[in-house]
Amino acid sequence: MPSEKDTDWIYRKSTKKLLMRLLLLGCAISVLMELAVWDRGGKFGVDGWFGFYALLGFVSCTLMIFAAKGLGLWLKVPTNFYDQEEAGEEDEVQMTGLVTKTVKKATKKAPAKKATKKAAKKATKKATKKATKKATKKATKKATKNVVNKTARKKVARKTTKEKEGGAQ
Amino acid sequence: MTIHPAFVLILGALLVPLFKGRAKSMYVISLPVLALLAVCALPPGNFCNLNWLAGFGEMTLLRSDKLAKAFGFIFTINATAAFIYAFYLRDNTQHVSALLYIGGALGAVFAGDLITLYIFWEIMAIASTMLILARRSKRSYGAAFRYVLIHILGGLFLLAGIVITFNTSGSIAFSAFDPETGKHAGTWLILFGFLVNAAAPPFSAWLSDAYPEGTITGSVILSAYTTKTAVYALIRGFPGWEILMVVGCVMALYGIIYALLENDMRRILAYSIINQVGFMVCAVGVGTAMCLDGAVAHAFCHIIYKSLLWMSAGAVLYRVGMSKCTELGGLYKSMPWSLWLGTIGALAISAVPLTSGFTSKTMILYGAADEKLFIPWLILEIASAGVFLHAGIKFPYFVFFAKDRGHRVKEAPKSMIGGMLILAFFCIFIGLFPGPLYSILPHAQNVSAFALDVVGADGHAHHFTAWKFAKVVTQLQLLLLSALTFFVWIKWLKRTDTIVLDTDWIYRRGGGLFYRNMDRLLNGANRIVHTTFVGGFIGWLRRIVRTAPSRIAVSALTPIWRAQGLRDKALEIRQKAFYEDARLGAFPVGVTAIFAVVLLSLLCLLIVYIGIAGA
Repeated sequence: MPSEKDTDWIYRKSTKKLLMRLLLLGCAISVLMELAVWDRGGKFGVDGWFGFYALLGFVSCTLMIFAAKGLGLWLKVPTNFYDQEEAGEEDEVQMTGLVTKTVKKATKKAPAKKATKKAAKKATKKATKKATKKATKKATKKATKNVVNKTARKKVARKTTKEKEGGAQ
Repeated sequence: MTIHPAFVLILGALLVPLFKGRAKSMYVISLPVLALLAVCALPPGNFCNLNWLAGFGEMTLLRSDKLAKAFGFIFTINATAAFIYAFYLRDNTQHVSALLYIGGALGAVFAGDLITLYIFWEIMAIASTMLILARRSKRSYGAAFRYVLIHILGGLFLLAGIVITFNTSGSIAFSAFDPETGKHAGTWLILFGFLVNAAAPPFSAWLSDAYPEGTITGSVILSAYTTKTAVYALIRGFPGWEILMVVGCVMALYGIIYALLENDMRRILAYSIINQVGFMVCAVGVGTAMCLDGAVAHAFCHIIYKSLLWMSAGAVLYRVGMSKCTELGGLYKSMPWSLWLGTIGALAISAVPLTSGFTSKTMILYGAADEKLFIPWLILEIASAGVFLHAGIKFPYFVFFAKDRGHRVKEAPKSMIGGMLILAFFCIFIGLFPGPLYSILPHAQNVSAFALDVVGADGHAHHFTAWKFAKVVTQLQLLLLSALTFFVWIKWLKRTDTIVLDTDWIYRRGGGLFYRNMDRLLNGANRIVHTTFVGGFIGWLRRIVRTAPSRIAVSALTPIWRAQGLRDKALEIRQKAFYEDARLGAFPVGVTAIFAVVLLSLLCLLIVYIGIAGA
């Protein structure tokens, strides 16, 4: 733990206390300043009460925070909530797609509830390694195939041109 | 000479690809400046009249009055600041689509009839979609697709409404629809079209879905025009429509609750737009001259401080590359200019005295109170306190302070700070001297540095003063106590790496769910019908038709065979043999002939009977 002096001024506990006190002082001054308002000019009666706006600010904000918290239990979902369905199995890059798929499989296979985080991390690491290996193998195979095919095609092309030339002669 | 400001931008946009490097940026900045000059030079009246659509009457491309000019001023001022902010950018797609978009917004604001309005409305929709697509990410493609679909829906509402209104009234004039006598299917559809663009729930999710997925400058520009053009259209077309009071109040509260729940800074700001537009929509619903002028003034100030906030968020995104509150924090040392300028925007949106928001929002509140509308007034006061909670404190606190995440980045580029400085200046200047703003309001008269007289249609003048000791004190009470609430309940406001489900769930997940359920229901019903009718009834009928004649014949012949002395197994063998012959059609010709004769004689008897009965 860094000492109080090492942390930034703004993050010090003493600063936080000071700022909170200043805020409380500001609140108190704003309420007391209302004593100097002789004509409150309330249009509805209620708004002419002493400290009405202070009360309204505190109570309404508290209610809104609680309402938001309550709704959050029902409405909050993980950031990738829509991505799971919309992205489907297609990913931006095939390689990453392979990795993510295998990672998903690995995490599914691993007993997520019982296993510790370390075990899960190891599983994902292994999965990614395997996936990358597979992907590279596939890629190299494809590449070699392509090369073989290309050379074969070239040979065939040479033969046909030779035959054509022969025929022409 | 009268120049249409929209065409300065739209035609200017076509030449953007010809410029390169700094010249491109300079050229792009010069266009909104020219458009601003064109707005300043506009004399009042109708210009650019076209008889283009036979049967619909004359179209007016340019209607210049105080209301249109007020929006024209702020649209061009904001565009200038936004392009200065985007000086570092050399992307043709973004510049061209931004200019077309702003040009479309100006065209809609200066449109003198509904057809012209519709054309520019659609130009805006297409160009703004391009601004979202310009981010070129998979998420932005999805968001742009959903965005354009919703705007096509809104556009169709508007078009249908225009056609019905023309059919009903015989006019395409775009003026105020009477709240008592002007209510018919056409005007309701036009209102729906406007409300879709104003992001009124339940058609609001497009905003929080699409704007945060736009490019850095694209989102800054997007935040200013679509919703505010809709506000302009509502002020022009639907003043005093009481339903708008309800819609506005819902928007004001809905924006706060969702902004409190959100984690992404740009989504917080997106919901904050809905909250602020709610104030303006509610003011239009009240419909008095004071409230309408308040809505115009608030739209003016809102465009400035909201763009400033989006610029500040954009600067953070540009440097850090992250936008979630759970990933941000502790940037106050690295990006002090972005912090302070963003904080000015945050204070202005919260209507803190000495900032622009205070001089405009209080006009709406004063107007609502003047009409003794307690519930709308109370909701707007509560929403004022809530704004400070989510935009005034939450945004700067979680982005620049909260927990130090160790981001040690450079300050935003100078051009970005330049753009922000211009808007921050306006926030403070209008806060200190609202006179120039008040002088451009449609119903303003006798304007001084801090006050004005608002003259209604009845000719009665209402005096409004921006600075009153009681007003400053009560506003400070409201805001300071809401700040205190934030820090008292800060543990409840801790950010989580989540998003909040909105009405876009209906078409993002609900659509799929609907499809799957319909698949289950309809294909299930199909399967049941197939198994019961095709496999069951038809099969049964087929068996009956195939075996019934032989069964009848067997039941008729069995007594004869019994009389012949056949019993038990022998009878059974005979019956089976008959069935087999019937199945194979292997009856002797004689038997077949006898049956044919019997059948023909029965037919003859039937015909004779029918003939006798008929006679």
